Amino acid sequence: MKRRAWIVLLSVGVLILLTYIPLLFVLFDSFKTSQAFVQNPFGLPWPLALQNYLIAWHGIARYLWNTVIVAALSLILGIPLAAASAYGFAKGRFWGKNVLFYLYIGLLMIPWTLTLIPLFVEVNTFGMYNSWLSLIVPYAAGSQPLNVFLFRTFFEGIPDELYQSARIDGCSEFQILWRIVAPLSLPVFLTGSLLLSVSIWGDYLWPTIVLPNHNLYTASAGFELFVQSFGITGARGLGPEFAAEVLTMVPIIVLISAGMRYFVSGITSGALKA
Amino acid sequence: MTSGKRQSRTMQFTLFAMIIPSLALILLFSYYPAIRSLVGSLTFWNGFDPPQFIGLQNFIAYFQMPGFGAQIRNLALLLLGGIVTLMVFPFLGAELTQSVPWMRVRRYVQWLFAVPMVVPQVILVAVWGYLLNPYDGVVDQMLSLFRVPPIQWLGNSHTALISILLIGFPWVTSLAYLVFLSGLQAIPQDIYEAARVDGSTGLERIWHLDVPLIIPQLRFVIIITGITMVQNFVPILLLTSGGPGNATAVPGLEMYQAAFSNSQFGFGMAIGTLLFLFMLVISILTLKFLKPQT
Repeated sequence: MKRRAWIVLLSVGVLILLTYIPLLFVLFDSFKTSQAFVQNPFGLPWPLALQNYLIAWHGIARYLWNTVIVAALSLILGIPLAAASAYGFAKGRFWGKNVLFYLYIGLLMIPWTLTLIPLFVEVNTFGMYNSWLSLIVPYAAGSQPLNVFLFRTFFEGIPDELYQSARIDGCSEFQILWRIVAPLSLPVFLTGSLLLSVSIWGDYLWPTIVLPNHNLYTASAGFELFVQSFGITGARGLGPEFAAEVLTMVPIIVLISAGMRYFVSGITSGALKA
Repeated sequence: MTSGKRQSRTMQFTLFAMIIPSLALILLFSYYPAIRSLVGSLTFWNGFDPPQFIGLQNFIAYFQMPGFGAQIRNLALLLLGGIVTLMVFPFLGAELTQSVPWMRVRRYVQWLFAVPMVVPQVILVAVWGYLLNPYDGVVDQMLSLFRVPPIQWLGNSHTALISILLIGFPWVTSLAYLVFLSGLQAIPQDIYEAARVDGSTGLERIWHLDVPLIIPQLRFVIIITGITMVQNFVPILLLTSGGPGNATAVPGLEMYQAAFSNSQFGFGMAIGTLLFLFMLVISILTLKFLKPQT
């Protein structure tokens, strides 16, 4: 028994180490000059090449701020709509409710390769092309299925007495959602917001398709643009490149570390829908 | 009584109305493009002039194009690889995490495996592209310690696809890890006690007990793995653009290039439609034949 425990711990340790080596490698080498790096990738980062971070920050700070704004606006649009809809599904008894709900669930199984091209055309038609609206609205729409599903499950868990007593007090359905249900549902709203933020932070392809104005790029697309500005081979800007990797990773890692509980609960409850 | 009934009817109407804005959003930005893609796959369209109906010609043209065979082969290999990288390793990681004897350590382990999930894919691709480069890539330098000559990982048609799959090694960190873990955590302890009394070993227990009990999670992971491998061509786009030759060409990338490099919108939508139909079949088969045990 004891021996088995040690074997488990050792294997877990090795796997964690292997998982983190590439990330630690980036962190470690982001403090080296490109030249020191080429001479010996395994050498110590001394003297600290802090100028890497200056160059990288100068290159990508704009994209990080853009992402914060785009994510915030997508959440402001997407979360309240999902909450209202989930409330309707949780408390409504109208005809056709289940069919409408399947419309949401069905979307979770459609690969976005199907919608990519027409969505691009549509964004053009609506005059959203080359503006943040072309990100915000599709992101908010894309977040509806999972969030409506998550919120509905949560709302159904709230005791019916709360709703009833609020109705007797003369609250409208909107007031119930806003004053009674929403404050109780902050954890699941946080879950939905984290999942959406992570996917916006990591989305590379869509911004590159709809934003010819590169100044509007978000984190992933902006990072790639910064890296490619150094050219493809040679010593290139390895130091600043690694520093840019760290700067692009850290905000989202910090965010998720703080909200890990909510992030995990969102993923695991989403799994049971299948 | 009548007024109560009327009140209830207004209430139901309000509740229905609350669904409408969200529903409008998905109808407009998910269903409309999806249907447009299905219809548009039957047209010749360059994105500007009015589309012309051409029946199944886009599909026929795709089946007959020179790279078609290579694209299907690569997608098949990526799907096979995905079983290992997106299912087996996350599952083993989850089993190992659950075998850690101390609750507290277990929580840290879960945390450590979960955090890298949020690292943006472009960064993972940049790091692995660097680790695998043949000039001063760390992987080749490590191998040279064992006197293995440098390998042109991404530049060689035999290893390029393997290199794409290598990204994220050791592959524990993924959505599937957390999903499997939650499934394992939900298995009641007394079932394990009973298995222990029966004297079954670890591997027997995993195969006969754990796997059947996490079928709901397994169904989800199979579908997600399929969707990921079908649609995620970003690493290929950034690292090899489908090359060398056709060594890493996949249908998703072909679709992207058809639309956004060659203005063949109808052709691109035909490939998108094929991928959708493929995933539809996979999903239906999975849900039909992999039933949770009651």
